[in-house]
Amino acid sequence: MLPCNESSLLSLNESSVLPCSEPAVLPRNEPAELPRNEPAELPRNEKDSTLHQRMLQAHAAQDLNSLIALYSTAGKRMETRGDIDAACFYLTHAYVYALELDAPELTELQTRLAAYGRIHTP
Amino acid sequence: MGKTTSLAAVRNEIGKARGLPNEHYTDPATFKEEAEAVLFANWAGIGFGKDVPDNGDVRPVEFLGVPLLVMRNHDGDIGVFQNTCRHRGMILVSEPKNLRNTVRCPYHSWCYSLEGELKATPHVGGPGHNTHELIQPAELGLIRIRSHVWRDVIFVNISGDAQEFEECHADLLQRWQEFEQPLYHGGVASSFRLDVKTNWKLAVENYCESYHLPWVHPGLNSYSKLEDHYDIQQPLQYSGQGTYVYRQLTGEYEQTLADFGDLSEQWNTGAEYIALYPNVLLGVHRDHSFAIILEPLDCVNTVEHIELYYATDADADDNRSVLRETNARLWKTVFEEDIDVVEGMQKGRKGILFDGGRFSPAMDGPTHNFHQWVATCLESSRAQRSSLDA
Ligand code: FES
Ligand SMILES: [Fe+2]
Repeated sequence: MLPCNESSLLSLNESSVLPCSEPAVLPRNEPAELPRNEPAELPRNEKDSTLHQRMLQAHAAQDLNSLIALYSTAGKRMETRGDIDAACFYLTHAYVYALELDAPELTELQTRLAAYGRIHTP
Repeated sequence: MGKTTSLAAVRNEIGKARGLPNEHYTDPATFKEEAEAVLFANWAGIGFGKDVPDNGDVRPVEFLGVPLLVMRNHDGDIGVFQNTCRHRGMILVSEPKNLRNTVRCPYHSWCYSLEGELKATPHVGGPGHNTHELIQPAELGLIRIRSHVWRDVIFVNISGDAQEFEECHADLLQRWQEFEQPLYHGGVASSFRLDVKTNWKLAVENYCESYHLPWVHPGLNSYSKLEDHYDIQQPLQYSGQGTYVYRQLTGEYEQTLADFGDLSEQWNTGAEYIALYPNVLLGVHRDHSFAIILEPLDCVNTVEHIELYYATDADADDNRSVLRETNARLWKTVFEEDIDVVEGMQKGRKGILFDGGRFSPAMDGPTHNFHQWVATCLESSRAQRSSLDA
């Protein structure tokens, strides 16, 4: 259950796929700059591939706090790009890890997924 | 299942009765029959509360091959569940750990609360869709196993249809009412396990009689003579032995272990040792108690999990730690002395002409009581099965 499998599972359109590993050549239509509402902890212009790399590292280290942050970021990014299924996919992962840690982010993630009708209302 | 054994001779009065036939100690099919009729159908011990000390502690336990999960929730209550995910049957927890709120299945991340409720089913309705109308969380909580904690022993009734623990064991609860007080585990030195090549029942049988004391425990017998012992027998529930001459350990400066509070006079020099059927062996004294869980691995292998408890917290009562260690060492010696005989009785049952043996009407009451109970459990399960077949 690595993010690369998850993204292939999603069959998202090419522009929104987070690549499996740092590619030798960057995807052609990678956005040059990310929108302004990125969370503070990640540089605004960080590439999807970098975000993905960090996810892999966090998975390897079983660092659930980082996983919550990174999947939330990925979710928000997809939301901004208007791909709600992909957004909810990533938010779901953030949500599951937040459940596991009983993290402060849990309520917000629950509210967002519920707003999209993606979980039973808590 | 193979042929069923004959239990009629076991049910005879003690002077004429024979013990359970060899198959009950040597035959894997009969072991399986007993697993259901005796161990699953009653309240069996599977673990100790002290092994899940903190809220959120979870611990996987296997009992006769059934994977169980012991969880202490945030109210401090212990629950036991089948350690199997309701999705595709993955083992949920494979090592003891402390959890915040959620057990997450390592396979597809279905999440359960410490109460066993299904809390999240990620992507169950497709990627990013975490609900599906046909997957109803209320129907898919972890399977709860009936459990009850007494004297720090976690008992489970896997069949789910035994009487309530408190009803079933009302008599013993009453008998030891005075010992209903906080127990403090003695720490690392007070915890040991013995791996014994014997059928679990032989460990019960040996524990509940005092007949062997002068022969097998000559040291113990120097201060605890045969005639100072009495039999304890409650038909179909428990049996064991008591002593009138328990002597407290004394330390270098005549100090003793702290007593449990407000005990009546009989316990000044009295102590009792009871096998609570099927597989829990208990002992109480004025200043310590112990609990042994017999874990039947298979027909001929048993693990004895032995834990000693005191009236005071070991951490707060440091100056008695030497006494506690001496006490643990003494008990370990006693239990080790029994290994040869329980393993020897196991070997003896390969004698194909052995007929279950006889019981001394004067000395073997507690053992016969246990055999009768086992026979009763088997007969009622056989009766149930044949009425189902009919
Ligand atoms: S088997 Fe547990 S989530 Fe699939
Ligand atoms: Fe003994």
